[in-house]
Amino acid sequence: MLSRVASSLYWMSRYIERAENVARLLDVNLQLLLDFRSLDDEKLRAHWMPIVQTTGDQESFVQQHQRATAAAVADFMVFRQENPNSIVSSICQARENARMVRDQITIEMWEELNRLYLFMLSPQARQRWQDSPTDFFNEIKAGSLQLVGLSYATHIHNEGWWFSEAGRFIERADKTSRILDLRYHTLPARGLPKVVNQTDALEWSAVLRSCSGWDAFKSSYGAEVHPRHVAEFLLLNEDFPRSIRFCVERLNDALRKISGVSDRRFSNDAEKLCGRLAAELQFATVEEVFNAGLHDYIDQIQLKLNQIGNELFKVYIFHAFDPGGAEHFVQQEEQQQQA
Amino acid sequence: MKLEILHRTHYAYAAPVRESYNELHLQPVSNEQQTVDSFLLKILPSTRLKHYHDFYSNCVHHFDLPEPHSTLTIESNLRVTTHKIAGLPPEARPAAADQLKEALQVGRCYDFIQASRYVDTSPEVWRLAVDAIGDERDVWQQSLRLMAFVHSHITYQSNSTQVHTHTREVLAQRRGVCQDFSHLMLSLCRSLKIPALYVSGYLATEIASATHAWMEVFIPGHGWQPLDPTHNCQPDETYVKIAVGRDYADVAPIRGSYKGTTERTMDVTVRIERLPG
Amino acid sequence: MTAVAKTEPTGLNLDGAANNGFFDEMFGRDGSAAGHYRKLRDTFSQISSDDFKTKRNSVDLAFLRQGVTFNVYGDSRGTERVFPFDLVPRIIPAKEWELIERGLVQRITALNLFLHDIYHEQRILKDGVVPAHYVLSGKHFRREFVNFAVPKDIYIHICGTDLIRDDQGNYLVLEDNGRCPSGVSYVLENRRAMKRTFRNMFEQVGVRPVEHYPQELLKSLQHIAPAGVAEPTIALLTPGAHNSAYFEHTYLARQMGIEIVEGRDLFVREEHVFMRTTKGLKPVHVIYRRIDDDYLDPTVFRRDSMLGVPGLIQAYRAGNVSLANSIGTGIADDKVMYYFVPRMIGYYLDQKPILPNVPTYLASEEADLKYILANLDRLVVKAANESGGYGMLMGPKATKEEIAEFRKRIIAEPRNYIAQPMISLSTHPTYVDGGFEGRHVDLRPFILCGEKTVIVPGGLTRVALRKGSLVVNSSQGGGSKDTWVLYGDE
Repeated sequence: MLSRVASSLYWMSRYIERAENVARLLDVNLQLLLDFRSLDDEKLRAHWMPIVQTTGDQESFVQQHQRATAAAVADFMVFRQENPNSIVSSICQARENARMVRDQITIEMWEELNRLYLFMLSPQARQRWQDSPTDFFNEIKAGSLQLVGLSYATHIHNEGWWFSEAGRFIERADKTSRILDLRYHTLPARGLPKVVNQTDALEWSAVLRSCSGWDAFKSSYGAEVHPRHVAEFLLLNEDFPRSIRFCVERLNDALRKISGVSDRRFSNDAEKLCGRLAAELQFATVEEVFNAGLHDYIDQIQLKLNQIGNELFKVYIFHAFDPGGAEHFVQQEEQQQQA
Repeated sequence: MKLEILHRTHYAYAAPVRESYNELHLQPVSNEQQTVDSFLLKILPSTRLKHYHDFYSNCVHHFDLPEPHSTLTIESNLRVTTHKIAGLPPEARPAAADQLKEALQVGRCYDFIQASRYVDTSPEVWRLAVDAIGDERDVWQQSLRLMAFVHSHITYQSNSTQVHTHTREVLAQRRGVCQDFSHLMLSLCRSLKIPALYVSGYLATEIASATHAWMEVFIPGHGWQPLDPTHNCQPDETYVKIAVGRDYADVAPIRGSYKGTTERTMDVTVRIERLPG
Repeated sequence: MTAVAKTEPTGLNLDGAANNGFFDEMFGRDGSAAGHYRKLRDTFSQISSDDFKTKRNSVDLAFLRQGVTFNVYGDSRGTERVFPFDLVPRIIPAKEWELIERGLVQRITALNLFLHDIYHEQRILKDGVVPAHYVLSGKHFRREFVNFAVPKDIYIHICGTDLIRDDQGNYLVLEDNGRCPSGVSYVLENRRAMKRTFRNMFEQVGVRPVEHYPQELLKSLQHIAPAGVAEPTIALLTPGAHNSAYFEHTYLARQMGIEIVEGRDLFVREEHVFMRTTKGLKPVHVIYRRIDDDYLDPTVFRRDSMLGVPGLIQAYRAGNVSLANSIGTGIADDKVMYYFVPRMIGYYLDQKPILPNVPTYLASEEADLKYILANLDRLVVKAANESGGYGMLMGPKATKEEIAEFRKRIIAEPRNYIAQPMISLSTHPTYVDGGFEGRHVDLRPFILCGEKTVIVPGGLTRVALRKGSLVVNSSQGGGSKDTWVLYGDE
């Protein structure tokens, strides 16, 4: 299929997944604030800045807002078009990519995505947000889930669909890793924490809720929330659909389906790196992770995910002739006749 | 006159560029005025070179360079013998202006009385032309007067214009180089419906450093007569014609496009040597 | 006035829809329905108006859901409009169609011969049959293309010729569209909608099918593949999702089973064209291009075009890729060249035109210019190179200011204008506001030139939905109808 189309399907999925994850993250953390007694600026900052950092936009936020209040962070991460990782930006990008490949996606998908886009840009969005942030976020999540569902149920599972799967799972793995990393500053640099106080426990359960993993976690580990278990669950669990291992394994499947190569070999660097990462997660133990330091371990994963994404593009989208990036079409300079 | 001409254009790009497609008007015609003894066109990085003949019978070479490259050199080596051909003497009065109507029926003249990319035939230009020719009714004499007018009206100044300058800007600032002088002359002639075409070529002088531009007017009964408004003279055997067209846009020595950075430099070298014989 | 048969009180009544003074497709001067409409009339009289409303709504909804829409220029919200569809079909009996078909084949043959001539020997110009300056001054005459060899010598592969009927019912050619004619996707979708909605009627009436258009188009594209290529890869080149006809581009590509590409998906290397795919560069042999000449190749035409493919023309010139339609066909559908088409038919084919032109006056001919300026209030004046109904003056309906403005424009650039008397287009019963009234229609058959010239029976009947309006374009209040060509005469 056309490289451009594969790229658009990949990014459409990635942006939809991104919007959903940001919605999830903000929703849970806003609710979390209600559980705290007193909040001064310092506490607020400590609470919100890591969240802003999950999208890597700390500098830009600091420039635009004085205090890290709930309102400021939400505004920045939901409605700001200047923030390329905000929900509105993600949905606009998703829709733009979808529009480029209109004929590749089903009518229902386009209509739903367009509806979500029009909603985000309308005054109703702000109104809904003011009235009830939770309802607002549910709207976003519902829209995104509908799109994922439509994609599974109505989009023919051809090469293009596997590219959108790849985009979805790379994004989900990346975002889960960032959510898991939210509270790393409450952990020792190496090794497991001895004691977990109530505040920390609440924050760690917020981490789980941000990934919609609370119920699944409870059924595996019971109601006691210890970072060791949370990390094990979100990093290494092979059955939970939002765990990093699960996502990497699905990504691996997608890559193999695209190239047609079995997963016992690799035919390009993306497959090689992804296979390695999957194997690593399959055979890691949570003690090893904490001995290396959770934060550092997660950093490495994010790096590897980036590499896999880049290699994917190099092999299928850009090939030999296209280093990627913006295509600048330039006229050759002409010489004046002036002898 | 036997001449050897080297014309090298060297592009250097700040970062490798790719998908470069180019067309060249560098191979001169052979006609009564000149015989091309040898012509060699070299492209580096090397690639396949092909050619075709365009609407004005110019030989156009073309090539593409899809792979990344940081420099592009286009070099032509030309040996040509120019002949002395007597043009119309300056005092001649060969054709009255009202004979032009019939000339226009000749298909190929049509393009050369129309406005084109860099040349317009605005009322302002027409007024200047009418003033310049005064009461002169002979086409050849009118052309000579127009040429004299252009020569006196515009001052030659390098770097006062650039390669895409339109005649209206030349008129506004009254400065330019040969390309601009020729474009203005075309403007004036065409506003009076005198067919006039643009010529790109070389002028064999000591200090040649670029290609030269002049033009030709159509005189009923005497065909196309060359005139050089930059120097206010009739071209002789020191002139080598490469290509003709409506204006610069039809005969640009090198034209193309690529994908990549806009940071680039262009170096043009023209060396003309008179050979014995 | 003959008594019209009484219909069931609850059935649809098409009678009385005829307008006086205009030729009506269905009704004669005396109000009686033409023979080939009888079955339709009978069927409709059995349908209740509620039933009819339901049918109309479900068709509209289906069109919207499937995306049978067009983008209105300038609308960036992603919402599109359904091209309004009227359920009353236009019916053409076999013997009328046979005449139309012969006339269209004659016309497209002459146009292709004309194009070949002016891009090579230019004999028709040398013999003075067409004054040379009309061709040379044509905006779409591509000098870059002279002396090019074209695959199988076909220039126009797909042509949409607009036909109208005067008040005597004679078919006249209004204009040819030989560059990127659009509308055939509506023809196909309209037919599908009608078949779903009026299944029984089709069986009774005996209508010739149109579904084979994509196969025929594919055949004519395969026909022009470069020599030696057994299984050519064909692609449709589109300007992209922002183009108003994007739906049709994707529709046709899908129906033909070919890839749809934009300029940036293609790549020329050593005069061969390739598609950038996930599995590498794939050669392309034939391109059905829906991009105008000007934007096709920035190294040859418009330097600033981001829609085109650098090097495409070189590849074409080298014979490594074929284009449909070819470059430079715009000179044949230039409104001024239209004036000379009857002469072309005489010159190349030694025949008289089977389908006449509408009487036309050229502003650049002195005698015609005088006539035009003296009669601006009675003529329709058109700019030579515009399409879509813009740049047009409807004399009898224009204000004094509009007429004065056009007078200035014509005097400034006479070569750019032609004028025709206001031809009263035929009317056809059309559903409006709860009843049926006559509305003006035209007909655009689609002609395919491949190994043979194939015309899909019928074409797009466009209807001007506003009362009294003669403008049928989608962007200006037009709609469409299904067109039925019968196997027989009734």
